[in-house]
Amino acid sequence: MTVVRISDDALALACGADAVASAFATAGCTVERVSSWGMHWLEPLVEIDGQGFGPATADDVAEILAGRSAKAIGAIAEHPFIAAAS
Amino acid sequence: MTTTDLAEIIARHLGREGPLLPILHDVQEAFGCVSPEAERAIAQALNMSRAEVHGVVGFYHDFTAEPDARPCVQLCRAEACQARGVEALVAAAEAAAGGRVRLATVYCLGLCSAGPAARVGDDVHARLDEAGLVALIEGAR
Repeated sequence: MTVVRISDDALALACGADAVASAFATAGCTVERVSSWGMHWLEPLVEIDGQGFGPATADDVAEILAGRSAKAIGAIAEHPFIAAAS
Repeated sequence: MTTTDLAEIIARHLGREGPLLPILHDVQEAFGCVSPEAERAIAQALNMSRAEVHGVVGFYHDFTAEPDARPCVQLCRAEACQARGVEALVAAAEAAAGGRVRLATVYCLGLCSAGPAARVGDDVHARLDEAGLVALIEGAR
């Protein structure tokens, strides 16, 4: 089963993370609520197998799961914002 | 408000270090306000002057002297939200609120990178544009 990680910190919630999490759960995914990577402009940021998608809405769920989302940002850990800080 | 309810709230927090704010929050939550009678009882229980308690009640906008049954929408108008355009939304927000919703200005909800931001109850909302904010206000219950 696909494991989807979505932040539940205040900013992610304010940007609609609960609706996105709920849509993934409805689509049959296991949703894990985690802290934020800190890339606020990408929240709600969806993480599946280390790959990021954001800012996501409930309407993006089908395309993300189909692997053809325009909101894909690649491997989160390799994003310049994260890579530069580590 | 009954004296028993108030005494119960005070007793619940009396043993804490700094019991005043927790008591005030619970009183506001339970009765919708912190009345002069409540201020008096709290001051007496905490061995404070009524003026001290009144000063705290008056300082924080979360505490009110009279109940207000209207839903409250807190709109952040601090620097970051101003930089992100909240001032351009205020007129529409006030019009949408009318007399039905209490539109309160707050200074920082901690969502600076995603403003304009607002809070309704315990829910926070960010990246608000005019349509989003108006819908939020109109949906506030």
